Amino acid sequence: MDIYKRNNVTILGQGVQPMIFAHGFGCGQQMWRYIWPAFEKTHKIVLFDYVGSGGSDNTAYNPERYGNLNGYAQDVLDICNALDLRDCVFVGHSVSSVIGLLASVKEPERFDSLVMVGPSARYIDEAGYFGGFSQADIEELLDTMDKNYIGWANFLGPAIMKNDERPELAGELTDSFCSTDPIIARQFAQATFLSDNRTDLANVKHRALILQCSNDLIAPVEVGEYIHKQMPESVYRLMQATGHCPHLSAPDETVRLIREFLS
Amino acid sequence: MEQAKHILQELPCGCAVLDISGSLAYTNPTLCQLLGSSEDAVRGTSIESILTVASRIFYQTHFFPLLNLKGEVSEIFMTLKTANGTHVPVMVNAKVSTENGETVYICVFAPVWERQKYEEQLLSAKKAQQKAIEENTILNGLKAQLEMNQYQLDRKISILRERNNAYLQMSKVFMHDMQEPLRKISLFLDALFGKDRGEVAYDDQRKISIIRKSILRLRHMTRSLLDFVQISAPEESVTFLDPKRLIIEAKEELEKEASASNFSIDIGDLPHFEGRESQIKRVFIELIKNALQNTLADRPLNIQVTAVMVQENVYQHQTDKYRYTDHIQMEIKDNGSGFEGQYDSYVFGLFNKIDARSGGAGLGLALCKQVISNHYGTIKAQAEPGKGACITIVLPIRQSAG
Repeated sequence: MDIYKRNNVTILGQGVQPMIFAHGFGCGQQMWRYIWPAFEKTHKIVLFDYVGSGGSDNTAYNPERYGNLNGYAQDVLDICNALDLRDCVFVGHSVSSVIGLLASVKEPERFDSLVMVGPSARYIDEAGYFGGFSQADIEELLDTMDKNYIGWANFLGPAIMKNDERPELAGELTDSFCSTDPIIARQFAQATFLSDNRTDLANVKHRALILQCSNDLIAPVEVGEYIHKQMPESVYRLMQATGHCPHLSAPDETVRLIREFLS
Repeated sequence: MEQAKHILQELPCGCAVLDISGSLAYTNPTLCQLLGSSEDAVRGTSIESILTVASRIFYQTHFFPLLNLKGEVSEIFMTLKTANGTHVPVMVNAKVSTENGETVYICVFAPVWERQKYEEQLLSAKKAQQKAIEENTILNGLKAQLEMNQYQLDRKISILRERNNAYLQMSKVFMHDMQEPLRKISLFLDALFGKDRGEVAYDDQRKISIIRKSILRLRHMTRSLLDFVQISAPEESVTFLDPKRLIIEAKEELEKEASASNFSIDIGDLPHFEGRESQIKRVFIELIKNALQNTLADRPLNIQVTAVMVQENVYQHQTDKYRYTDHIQMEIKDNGSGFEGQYDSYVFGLFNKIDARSGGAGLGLALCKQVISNHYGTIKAQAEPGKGACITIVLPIRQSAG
């Protein structure tokens, strides 16, 4: 099994300590393009796509495995193993924060610290817990995804990356751009939004940074505060950035806070 | 210019301009009408405020990232939420633009009431068809797989039966056949060089003592091997175990033995799990013994046992099969002499010893591995010289496949 090909692994940077960037539900490693260049001098940058996302090898997709976030965590561990990575800084967006957390509990020696961008341990509300969504909301989301598959080819067709400052990236990104198989994307949505990882939070042994956006619909402030409370050793930073993708909308603030945490 | 403004006002579709933070900087009258609201009411609010919850998630996870990376998106299906809460299905096209040097997003919304109905029908037909195809493919695949598995299982049963027979024979060999010649060697050695045999040359005495030591060692090894063969006799039934109690019992048993010096064990909260009590207890005894044999002279042995619940795939050998169930991941950490990293898996081999001087037979960890494997678990060792060793055991909470 060629993990490089399977997970479309990209290795960049001149540093020694590995820094793994893991994308969330919806896209691929391109999501990090404003962030990783800030760390290429100091770290070994590892970018990848989960099987079924981005430019990964979709033939390796197994619905039994990826119906569970632990299957995605195994992707992270497979990459660590293939590259023989140790003491990694793991930067995960959204559901990847939890995927990285699961991986860090299983093989602690691989990790040094976790950076969780917009994490949530449980999306659906229940008595005594605020997750931000009702079961009906999530079902409507799955329906919305289904409806967008009609125009899917158009939606996810190859795109030319506009990146005037880093023209060297243009070619590499063209084909692997966010191409997600509709059935896989729907299962990823299910695995993500129906998961409940609240009891896993207390198992974390590593330093962790929680980057919480203001006004984040997907991971509201209450959810970030809940995670911080369950992980008393974690560092919690409420960002000025709004929305769920600070690495796209506020890369400067995101980079600054990660740097602060790592130094 | 006036004409352009007029067209925008009269445009037969909703149009909005978002600023970089996603706030509505401009909405045309058609959009306000669709929303049952006024431009003043919506201006400055977030785009999310005019979307249903599901569409907000889709906006954040797909629409916004794609728009940013690609510069434009088209034919995205979303649902608007009007002022009085009703839903309006729309098709959205959007592109990134600049206005006075600032990045803005221009979006147009076309209601798709009629199209939506067709699409729904199309989708449900497609889903039904997809389901039928999938079920059929899945069933055919399963049938072929089942046949293959049965075939392989049958062969494995033959091999295992054969091996089990060999094992039973081996235990008989260790019990009797090997003990007997040893007994005879020992007996006749005594007869030849026993006390009443008068003076024996100094050099011969040394040789005799080596022979005696070797006999003892052989006896010890055969006994250990017998132990190794017999430990996993599967007669014992599976019960729900409290690992904390078993560790305390293991400690007490070792303390009764003279060899066990003073040591401490800290036990954290350990989830209960299913297993064969005597075998699992034996694992704890062997692990503590192992730690006792590898202590450092300058610090008393301390063992820390902690555990967390994780989910692991129950299938260990079948590739492509996954079912994640609850497992206990237990760490048994000591402050002893540790060992070099390259011996991580070596230590579990039969009669493999890192330190030839240590007292054990090199069987304890091999035995642990056998017991843990018999419980469908895994065991690994990690250590650093001078810092101690850490044994990690992962075991399913339930032994049966329920």
